[in-house]
Amino acid sequence: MTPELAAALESLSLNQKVAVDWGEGAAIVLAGPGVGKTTVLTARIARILDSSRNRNFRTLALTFTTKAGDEMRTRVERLVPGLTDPTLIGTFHAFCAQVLRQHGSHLGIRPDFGVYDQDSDREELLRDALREATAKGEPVEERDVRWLKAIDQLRSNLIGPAKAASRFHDQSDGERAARVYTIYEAALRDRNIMDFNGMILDTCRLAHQVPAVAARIRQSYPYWLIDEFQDTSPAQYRLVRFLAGSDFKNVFVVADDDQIIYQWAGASYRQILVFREQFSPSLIQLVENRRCPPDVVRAANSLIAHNAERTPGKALLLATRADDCPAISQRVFATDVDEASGIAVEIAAAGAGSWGRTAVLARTRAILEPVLKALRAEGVKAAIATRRDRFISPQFTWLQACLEQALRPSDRHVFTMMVDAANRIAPMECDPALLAAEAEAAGRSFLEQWALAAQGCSEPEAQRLADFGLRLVQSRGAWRTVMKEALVWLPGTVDSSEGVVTDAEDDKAAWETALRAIRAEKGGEPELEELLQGLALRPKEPPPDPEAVALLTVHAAKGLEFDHVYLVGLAETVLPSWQSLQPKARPAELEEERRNCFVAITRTKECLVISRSESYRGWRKTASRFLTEMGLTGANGA
Amino acid sequence: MTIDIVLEEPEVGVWDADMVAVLEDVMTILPGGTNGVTVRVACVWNADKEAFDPRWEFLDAGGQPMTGKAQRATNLTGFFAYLPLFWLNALRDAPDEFTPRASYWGRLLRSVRIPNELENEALKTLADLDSRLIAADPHLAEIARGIGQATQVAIGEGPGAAKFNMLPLGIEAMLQRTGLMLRNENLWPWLPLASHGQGLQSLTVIFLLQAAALQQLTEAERPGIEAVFAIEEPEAHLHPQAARTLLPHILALKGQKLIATHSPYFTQHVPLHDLRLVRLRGGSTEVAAIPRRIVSDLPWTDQVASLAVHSGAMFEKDSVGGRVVATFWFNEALADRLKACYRADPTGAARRSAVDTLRHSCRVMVSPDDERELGFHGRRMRGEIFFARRWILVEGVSDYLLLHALGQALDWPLDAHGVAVIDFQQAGSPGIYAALAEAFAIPWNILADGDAESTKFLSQLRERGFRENDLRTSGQFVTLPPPNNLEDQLFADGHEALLREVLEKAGCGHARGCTEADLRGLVKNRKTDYMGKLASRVAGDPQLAARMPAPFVGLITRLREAGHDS
Repeated sequence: MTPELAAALESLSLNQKVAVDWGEGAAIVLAGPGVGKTTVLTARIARILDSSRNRNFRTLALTFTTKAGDEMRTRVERLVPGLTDPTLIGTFHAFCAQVLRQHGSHLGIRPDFGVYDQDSDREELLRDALREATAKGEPVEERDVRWLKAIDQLRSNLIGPAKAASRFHDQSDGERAARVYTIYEAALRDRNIMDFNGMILDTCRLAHQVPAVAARIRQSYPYWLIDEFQDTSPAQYRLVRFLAGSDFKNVFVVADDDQIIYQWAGASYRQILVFREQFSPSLIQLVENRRCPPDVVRAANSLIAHNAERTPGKALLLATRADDCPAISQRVFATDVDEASGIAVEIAAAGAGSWGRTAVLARTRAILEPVLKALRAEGVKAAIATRRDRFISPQFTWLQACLEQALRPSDRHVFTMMVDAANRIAPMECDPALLAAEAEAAGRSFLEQWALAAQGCSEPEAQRLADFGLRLVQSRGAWRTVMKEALVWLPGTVDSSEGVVTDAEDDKAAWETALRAIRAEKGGEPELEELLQGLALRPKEPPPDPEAVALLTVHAAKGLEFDHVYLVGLAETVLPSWQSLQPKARPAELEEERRNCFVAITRTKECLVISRSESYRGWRKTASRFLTEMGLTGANGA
Repeated sequence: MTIDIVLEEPEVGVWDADMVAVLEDVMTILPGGTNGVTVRVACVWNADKEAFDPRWEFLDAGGQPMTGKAQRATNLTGFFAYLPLFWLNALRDAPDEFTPRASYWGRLLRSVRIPNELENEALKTLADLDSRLIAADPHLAEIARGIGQATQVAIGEGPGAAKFNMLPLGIEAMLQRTGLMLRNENLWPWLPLASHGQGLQSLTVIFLLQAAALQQLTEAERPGIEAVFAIEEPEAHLHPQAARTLLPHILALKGQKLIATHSPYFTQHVPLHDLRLVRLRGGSTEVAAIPRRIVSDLPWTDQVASLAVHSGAMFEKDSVGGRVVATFWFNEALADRLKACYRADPTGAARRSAVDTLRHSCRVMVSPDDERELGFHGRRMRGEIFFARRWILVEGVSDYLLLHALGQALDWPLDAHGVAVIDFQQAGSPGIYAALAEAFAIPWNILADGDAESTKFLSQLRERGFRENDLRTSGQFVTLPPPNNLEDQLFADGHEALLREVLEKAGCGHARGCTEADLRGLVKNRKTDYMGKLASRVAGDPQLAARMPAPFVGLITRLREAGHDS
């Protein structure tokens, strides 16, 4: 055993040890915030790897985000260096992509499929396909593209085109949607493209049509771990069921029914119930909170006790830190403007040294925006963490599209995107439709036609872009050097003033972060199609600035921790939200709001400041009921 | 050059789970639910680098290169750990193969374990012996003293000394000196390998390969490993008898054997299904073999299943697509019964034509009866025919002699053009040879007499599934004008006087004066004698050759004009 693993096992609590040592059979670990669930998961994977050095089976660990997966892999590698190879650690989508690359041929999927992560790309693809179908005389028209949302809904519920029609109230609507759905799926296959819903759906289909695939996964991966199980969607859960079949029980899930905040995306307490029903797992509770001060733990316990949708017998969180000083303080302001500036002044006064360890949390982004403004006015470095699902600079939009073109030369939509992006980098006026027509007439690829046109421009940027393009046309194998040079050169094509981070620099940082993670996931240099598949699956925001105050919505803060947490907007109709307070609202909605508050306060490592104002946007608001529920009323801080 | 290495699990769940897990990233699932691995290894000429670029990739069940984790080099290492390759090339030099640095011998030596006790004892004995040998001649000690001064001069400190050593000082050094001694007969002296003939040396290397493979596979101790032996020209330097007896030894190697051979003797005893004919044609390498099973478009039905029960192992169900599979050739009667199975099928006409297509494709298959016929009284078929570029099938020796003579006379010697003339009546039936030729894609012709026999041959071929179009229409089946046999035809062509002359030369004194009827009797009974003489006359006389029976002359002329490959 490595000294790192030995030390990690040594530091486990009794319950953590039970979880890490868990052998065969299903288990559910209920892990509240700050109880070291990632420690348990990584130690468990490391222990399995370490104790099976002379065996060759593999371990499957599914995470909710790519970031969590990347971090888990790094931590396991630290515990058992060199042993992580026989693991598959990643998101459901990454896992499905791997299964489809390997066995997708049974469904007519080729291993080098592309991934469309943008709705606009998918709409364009469907519109093209509809146009072709109309030309062939099928009873559809271009504006049937409006059915795409409904089709997505069907796909996320694992409903294929054959059964689609019966899902509609109106029969003729149903038939039409089913027809469009069939055309959409055929277009995806034809162009060798996958969409996100399709990855789960097709993997389910594969497990269904070729049972040997599921049998192989069970045999080669005898241990499955699922992180953040409460956040899995019904489709993801059904995939697990399909793959497990009726006899496989080695599913080890970590969940917290008190941290379900993705109900709108299908996450539900019911998932945990269904899992308990179908897998009859043993229950392990991790309750020793090692993160938060006892004050915060008390408030959290008292708050969440008001929820009913919880696992029966769920134990209280146990504070383990010293109870030396009060850790929670409250602020009340007259207006939201005062709240923003008051919080900003307080953070500014704490000094630049603490900013990187400070977070401002709120239920919605709208509450954060004035705080950001106020912080900047005080000269505090701060940023609202956002999730980007695409590159925002023309520079990196171009690079991604250009590499896509090298892989799928006939993708007209990507071509249009590439030409438009290039027009913005170098002042050119290339017309993608015209270029495409010329390319077809001359028998050239789109990329080559564009590169030749760009080469003729006088701008040095245009010529450099053209050169990259032509090198890719000559040999697709040149993509590595093209990417390397472009990563260095592209950010320099933007004029910027000192000290301002440009979009291109943000994108470059995001690109490099993603590239590192893709390498780590594969355990080697990725091929072009893997890079592009990996980029599609990963977020495209730059890594956070370690010296800036992080402004986060509660959803974005999940899984993170900070020394100093400011939770703003603790007022009725803000947190809890207006919808959850409507007379028609289901009780589950208010429970989810409560869990939002629970997640927010349990991010705290040192001190928590809870603030509210008496009015927001001119409307009077009373104090949030959660303050009372946390046992905080009366304790009115200065 | 591209080689696909295809491994398929024979039945679901047979492959070791641990092996499957190791190869998980490259292992596909075949339509029947079994596991499979396909690796494509290619060597492509790179004009820029002026060198061959080796490349490899694993393929998915649809034959597409797999991406992602499957592309990591560790997969290839893992793959070959389960499929170790033992390779012997044609140019092997036995003494080199038995040096400690040679891969197989070296590996064997490294695996030898000597108990510590014995090692210590041996080293002590050797040290004793060594000092006694050195001390035997005082002259040696003197020389050592002289050389010892050298270290003094070079380093300049201390007294400096030197001594001699004659015998090996360590167990490794001793093992490395291990040599092979052989003796052919009990009373003959033991001689080192290098002092034996090339044949024995070459053979020894093959058995060394076997020993090394056994050793390595025992050491690996992992289930699932299956060795592949690639041996080039195992027959090298061996006389025909030894080459023929080598096969069972090679077949005894545990694992798959890939053997490249140029030896008709070695080939002669290889089961026909195991033969792969490799040849260069039109710039690319072609590999031909006899199919073991042919999958049809016909669906497997209950009726077909009961027909299969009553017709031996002739028809099987394809586990992948549920189609009818044929394992041997089958005759018209069976084809009719198969057609009858689809009587109720709405697409009956299409099914019937699919049965015909299947029967036609199956004509190239070899049944156990065929193999028995070819192997009757030892293998009468000659291995050399597989090295020919064209076969001409004839009935007997006289046709054989005449054809060769015509080739000589018409300036198109058959051997020089890779044509094998097979007198099939001595070794099988024309049907089998025509089937083999089709299976191995060897162009072929039949030249038969014009008598009732030829009708029999023709019906044999038809019975097997050959169609009119494959035979007479294409000119592959040619006979002498009915009802003539070769001798009749020679008379008909006005060669009576010539026949009297050659028979006389062949020792039949009375041939010149006998009646025509007697003469006909003579040529019939002494075919080889008269044809031996006639053939040598024909070979040296192009004008005479041109007057030989037209089908014979015509065939050679046609081949000469077309080039042999047409």
